[in-house]
Amino acid sequence: MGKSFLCFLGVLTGTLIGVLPGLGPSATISLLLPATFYLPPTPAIIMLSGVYYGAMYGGSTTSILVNIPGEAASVVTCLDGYQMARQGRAGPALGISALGSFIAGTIGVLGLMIAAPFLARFALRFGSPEYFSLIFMAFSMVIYLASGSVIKAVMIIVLGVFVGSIGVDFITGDLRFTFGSLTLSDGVGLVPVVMGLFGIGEVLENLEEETGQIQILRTKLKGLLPTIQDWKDSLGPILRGTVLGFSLGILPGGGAVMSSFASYALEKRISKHPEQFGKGAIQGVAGPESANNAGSSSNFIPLLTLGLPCNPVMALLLGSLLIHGISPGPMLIKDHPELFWGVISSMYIGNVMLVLLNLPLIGLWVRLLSVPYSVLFPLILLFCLIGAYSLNNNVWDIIVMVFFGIFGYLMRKFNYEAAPFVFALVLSPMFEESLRQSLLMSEGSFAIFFTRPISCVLMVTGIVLFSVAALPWFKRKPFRESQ
Amino acid sequence: MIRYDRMSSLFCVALAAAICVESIRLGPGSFSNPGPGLLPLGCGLLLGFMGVVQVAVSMKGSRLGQALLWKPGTRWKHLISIPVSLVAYPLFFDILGFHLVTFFWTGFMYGGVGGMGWRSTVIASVATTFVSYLLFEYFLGLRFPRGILNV
Repeated sequence: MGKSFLCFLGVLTGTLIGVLPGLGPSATISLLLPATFYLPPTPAIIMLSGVYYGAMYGGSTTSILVNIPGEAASVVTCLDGYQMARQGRAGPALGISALGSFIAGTIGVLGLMIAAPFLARFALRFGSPEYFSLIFMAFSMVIYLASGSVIKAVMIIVLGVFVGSIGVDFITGDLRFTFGSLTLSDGVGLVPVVMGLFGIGEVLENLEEETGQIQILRTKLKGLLPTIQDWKDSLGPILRGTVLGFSLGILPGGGAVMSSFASYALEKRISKHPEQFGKGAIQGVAGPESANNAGSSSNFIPLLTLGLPCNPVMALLLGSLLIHGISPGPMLIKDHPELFWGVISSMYIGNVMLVLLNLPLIGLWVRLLSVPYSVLFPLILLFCLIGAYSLNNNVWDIIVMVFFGIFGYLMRKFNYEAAPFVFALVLSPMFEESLRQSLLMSEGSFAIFFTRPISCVLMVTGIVLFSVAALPWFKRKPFRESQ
Repeated sequence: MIRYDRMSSLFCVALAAAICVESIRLGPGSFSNPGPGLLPLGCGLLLGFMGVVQVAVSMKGSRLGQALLWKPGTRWKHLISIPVSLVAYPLFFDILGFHLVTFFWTGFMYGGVGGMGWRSTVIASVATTFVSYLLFEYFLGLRFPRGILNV
């Protein structure tokens, strides 16, 4: 199949799941992951990436028309988007959302194209101590950005690292915590875990209480193209949202959700009329929607240059690359230029496709919202079942998935976040390998992390971030990625 | 959430103790020659410590205004039947084969959990089974067990 077709398929699926509440990009990508095993790596990543940034576009539709975010990054779009729709300005809200997303997405890809090779060259200086310090800093960043209790964030990261250590020890070959299971000797698979946490966990949460049919705002969609005044009001927020979203998207634990919240807060703070926010201010739609798209582009930078996923979606893409025998890192651009530049080109094309999909076909997406959840959830669960089974044709993968589905549901009930768990699970092998290699190099001295300049800077940054998060009565700071 | 935080933290402390015991059995080695149990032991110790801290914090917290984890009207039937059916699906996979087990399983989901009428349930189950055959077996070329009836 052609790469353009797969890109189209990816952005179409992304828009679809972005529109439909109850299925996020993490669950969808984990469902699609087994299907991409049969594709060469570049088309596979192009399609999966398309799902991710496509979901950012689609998520705004439900926020604006139904006041229910299609996915987490569009939560703030509800505040002003829905108010605009109630005032009969659903068209301009959807229009500025799609066009702002297009501008931000395109600039974001441009930034990715420029920044990634630079960072990759810098990362060539990294050895085991630097990687360990980098991951430590990433964990501290995730704890700093977590929305709830810092204690719970630490606990869930530690649990993720532990689960990631299950399986064969890479140095001694000893089996750890496998309890005689052959399935566990290969480690706990990322895909069943993500399907369980984000797919099954979400279905269980949605079905635990009686919910009514989604009420779509009955309004005539007219004037999808914003007026000159709308553009004047929105251009600043779009550009600021792009820069902010792009910057925050690079950070581990950062991403589309944090970008959109930060952009909304920024726009409200600098606005001459902050009282209009929440009452239908177009800036409250343009900024966050641009920010989450720019963030979804810059999320790729740490993955493609350092092999470090900054959110669960990137972790799944990392898993997909590893399955195809490609190790992302500083050498990726040099060793697999077709993959790197293929993904970049597909993002330009994908952004154009998304504008074409989201504006003229808006009526179709709105109609999709009338599909009842009682029809959707069996399909989501069936896709989870088949996806988990088809990984290795092993029914135990299904059992692992169900276990993490229940675990994910309980995590939601007890206010633990799933994203840091997945983040830690993915980074655990690299974390352990770099720690043990560093200790072997230094003959057991932890000073190695402070005597090498890059490692020292990363480690000190991590310690400062952790201290800032932990000291004030173990209470937490704002926004957090929960996709 | 105070009481529930305490419950979850105590569970983590117990889990941490089990992790520590098994890590010591695996052999943590030394810092100069780390063994396979070193990282899990570190995880166990940190998890246990944070669990104890969380329990201590929850002891000091107010009991007023606690939200219920499961509100009255929670559909326990769904919360139990869905995981059970998900576990049952692979158990019957080899015996009944992909098509039959998918048909029955989706029938249970649409009718038993989703509350559809029996005609709609049959139609939806047949359609879902057919679409999943087309998508996964025909287009993606996946191979599933055909069961004792070879369907």
